Amino acid sequence: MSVSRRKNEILIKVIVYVLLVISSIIILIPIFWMLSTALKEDSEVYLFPPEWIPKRIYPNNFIRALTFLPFGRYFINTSVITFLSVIGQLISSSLVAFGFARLKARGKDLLFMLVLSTMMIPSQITMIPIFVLFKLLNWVDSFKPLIIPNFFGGAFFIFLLRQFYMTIPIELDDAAKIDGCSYFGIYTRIILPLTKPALATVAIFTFMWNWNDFMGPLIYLNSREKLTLSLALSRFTGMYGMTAWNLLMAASIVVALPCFILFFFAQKYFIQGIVITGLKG
Amino acid sequence: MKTSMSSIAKREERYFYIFISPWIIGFLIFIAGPIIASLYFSFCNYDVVTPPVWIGFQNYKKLFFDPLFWQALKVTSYYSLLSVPLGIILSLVIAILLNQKIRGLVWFRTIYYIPSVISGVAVSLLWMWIFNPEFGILNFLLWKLFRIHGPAWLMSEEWVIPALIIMSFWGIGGDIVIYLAGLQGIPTELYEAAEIDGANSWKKFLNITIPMMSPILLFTLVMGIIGSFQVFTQAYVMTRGGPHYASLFYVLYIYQNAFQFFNMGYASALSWILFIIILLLTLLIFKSSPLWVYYESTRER
Amino acid sequence: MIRFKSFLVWVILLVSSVFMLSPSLYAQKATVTILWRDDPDEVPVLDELIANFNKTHPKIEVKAIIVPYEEYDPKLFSMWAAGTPPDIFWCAAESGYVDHAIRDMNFTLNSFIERDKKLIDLNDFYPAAIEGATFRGDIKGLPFAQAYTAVFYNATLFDNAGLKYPPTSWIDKTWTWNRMVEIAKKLTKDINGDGRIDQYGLLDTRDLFEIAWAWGGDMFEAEVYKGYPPKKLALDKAQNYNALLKALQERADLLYKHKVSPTPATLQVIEQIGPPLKTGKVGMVISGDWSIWGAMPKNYKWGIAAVPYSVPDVKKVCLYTDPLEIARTSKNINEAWEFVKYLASPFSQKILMEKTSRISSRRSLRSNYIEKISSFLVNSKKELEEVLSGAFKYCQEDAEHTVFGFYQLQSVWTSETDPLWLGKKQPKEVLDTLIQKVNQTITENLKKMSK
Repeated sequence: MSVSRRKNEILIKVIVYVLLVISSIIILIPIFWMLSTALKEDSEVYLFPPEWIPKRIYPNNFIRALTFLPFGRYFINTSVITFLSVIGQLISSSLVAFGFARLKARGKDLLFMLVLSTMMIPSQITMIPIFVLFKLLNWVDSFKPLIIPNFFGGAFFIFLLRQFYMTIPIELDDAAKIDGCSYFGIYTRIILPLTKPALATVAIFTFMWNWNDFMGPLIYLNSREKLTLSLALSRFTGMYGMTAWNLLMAASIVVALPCFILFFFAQKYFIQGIVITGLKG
Repeated sequence: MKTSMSSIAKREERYFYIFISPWIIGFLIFIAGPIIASLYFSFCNYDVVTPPVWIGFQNYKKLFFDPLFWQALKVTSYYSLLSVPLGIILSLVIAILLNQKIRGLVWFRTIYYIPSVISGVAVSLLWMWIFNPEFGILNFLLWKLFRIHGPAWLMSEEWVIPALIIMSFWGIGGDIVIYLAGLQGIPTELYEAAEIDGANSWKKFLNITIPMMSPILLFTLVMGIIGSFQVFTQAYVMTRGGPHYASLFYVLYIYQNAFQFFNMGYASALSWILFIIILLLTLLIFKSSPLWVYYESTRER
Repeated sequence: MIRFKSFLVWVILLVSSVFMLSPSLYAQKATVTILWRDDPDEVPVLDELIANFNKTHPKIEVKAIIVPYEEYDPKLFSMWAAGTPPDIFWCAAESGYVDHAIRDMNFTLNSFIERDKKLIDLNDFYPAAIEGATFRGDIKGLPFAQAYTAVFYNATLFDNAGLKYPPTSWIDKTWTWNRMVEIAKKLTKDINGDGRIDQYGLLDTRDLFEIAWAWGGDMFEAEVYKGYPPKKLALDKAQNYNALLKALQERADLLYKHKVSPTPATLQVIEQIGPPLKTGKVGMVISGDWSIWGAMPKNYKWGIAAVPYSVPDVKKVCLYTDPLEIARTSKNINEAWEFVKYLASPFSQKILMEKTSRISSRRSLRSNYIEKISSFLVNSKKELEEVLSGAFKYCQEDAEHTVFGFYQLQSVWTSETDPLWLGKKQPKEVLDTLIQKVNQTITENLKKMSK
């Protein structure tokens, strides 16, 4: 507990810092490239060989990109779909995961394997039968195929939450049962509060996946006013015409912002110290 | 004969099914039908626009003699074998680093997460530029900093998969977030007790962090396998399976057969073989899990 | 404190409100859906034409479904699989109209054309364009937006090098491949002296079957182009084999012997910037006329020339017709035909040419096109007339549209020729493997067909 201990701590902190800074720079290089392209004027985009720092900064691109298409409409569409999907997943996946994590039953392991196996078939192959299914339900060209399945649990999140739930000591459950708590009560008063970081993770991931989902809207939506942001981005890559690189990058950055902001604010669930190790009373 | 279950056990079982009922209903409505359909298609000649024609096991027979099937399997396994373990180690290490009390923590975490948030064509095109052998920044830096002539990356049969593996590390933000969430659940008392006992950082890592994180590690390992075996977008946008089939990922081959070669039946057979492979690997991992995964709730190990 | 029952009620309310989210579909007029690819030039024209048509045809409502180019086929096939094909579609992506015809996806238009022949005036279309929409004698579609092949060049680079512009005559016997290569060498320069070529002389984007044509051979038998599935590559004939072998050698030489063409790595960068010609980094490009679609950079001058003779007396280049097809199982075939007629009419074609740089498939409108492009080309109108009539005379429809299962065969030979363009293998080795692999694929496809 002396000088050498302090020195060790500082050394570790310095090493950690250096590692983080170096790797952050590496991570940021492509982002920097995106940003630099987004700020280039049209004539500079097509310079060959490409330049890293644009000679002139042209932030107007962001406005041009957003007015090129009815982004407002697409933003609303995407927001509605994403918001409802997040709610759906949070509710359904956590309920299902609780069952797998906490309740004993015959056939549980088999069912769990079944849940996992649904992730092992490539979506490309079930795309057409699923599309036919939605057509039979008359849900094509609506948001329903994109939102409603989220209310029935997603295998990825069920698996994730199950693992988290299983890290919580069973004594807490037992104590609550003695107090007369129902299974549902254990779920709401013990498991949910203790796994807030995991729930935040589920929210972040669901948000991100639905926000950026491309194949789903492509296949299920027809009418142009129903399209989503991810489809709108593809408009910037013309087949034989010039790809408006600067606009594409600018638009991509803007489209990514909500996910970024959500993550930033979800940080408070990831700060160590709010862990409760036992219920009081 | 089994003795009848106690009424408590029966009640618990009933509640189990109530709790998982959303998934069961969803499975029956949305998933079961299409999966059965794809199984049926795998036994047919199906070009999507005309009705499928039953041909029995022919697609499966064809598969075993198809050199592209083996190539796709080889490519995908090579990628998976390297990217999954390396990715897990890298993201775990960084998650632990990001869990320390240092300044600017929130910013560092966000920086790591940004790549996962940007998606679509932009990312793949970005990396095509980075990897370009003559004008990309990677070879530029290799030359300027280390005086190495970088390889042709995406245009080289030997280096295209390593290039994609490197690219996969850029997106580890997702796993980092999951590990961070997991690290929150480790009671700080455990670390404090260990420190009192005189444990150093490495011992703390080995005896507290890893076991407490093992359920999460199981998750990322299994999901890593499932995900890496289904890589598609990078191959589709950046390399189209080339050069000379060197990056013919399995799901890309499935996609080509399904939507470009009018071969949905064969594509379905390919999918089911992939399913079996992934399932076997997953079962293997789960079977081995009692040896290394520690659940607070069941206190095994 | 949440009680289970109230929670359940809340969930049910939430779920049922979700189910009532989207508006239900209702149809009162006859709806005609047309599937189109997301092209920044074509889509606005399509929208305008649809708006006009809907106004003048109150009983029909045309709706456009727009998808990105790469997703055209998945979307098309998904709709077919579900039994709701778009009423009008075309070979916008990888599948060709012959692929569609053999699977009985498109409606034969002969009777409609006969009935409305005054309106349509089939003779006004280029014969090759109609040929490029015909399947075993049946016309399966009408052309809308056409594309042709020629040599497109950067006239300013020619001026800088003190070179004469290439000829627009398709029968000039002195305009040979070798002469083109010589000119390309003079156009290939390292301008800033950094050891790296900054300006390339020639880029030949033609596919394998096209260069086989150019060197006097063919990859497929003649009947294949009429809509009969190939039984094997026609490369077992010595003339065809030698023609393609020579063509591959010449193309590889462009990259590694004469060094007038960019390597794949460089080409990738150039293409990401834009169509190679427009970047100003390539002197001549042999390609479809998409090299001059859209705005042309104003700091250069541009020109069109004829494709040279690779082999004496042989000249055949690609024509891209992309005929508009009507789904055979469409519920509104007559209405769909009305719109197809409308799109193929001189009225719509004129609008297409006004708003985009496309050429109409109608011969009578060629002068409109020449009027438009002569404003930014160095060629005189007479020269343009010459080069265009040649492009539409010495041509044949794109094999991607006319050869059954083309895309799969092409993906095989693209993979097999990768090492050739990367400088790793020799043409003969590549060609022999290619023939074997492609024939294998063809045989398997035939087996599937007979089932």
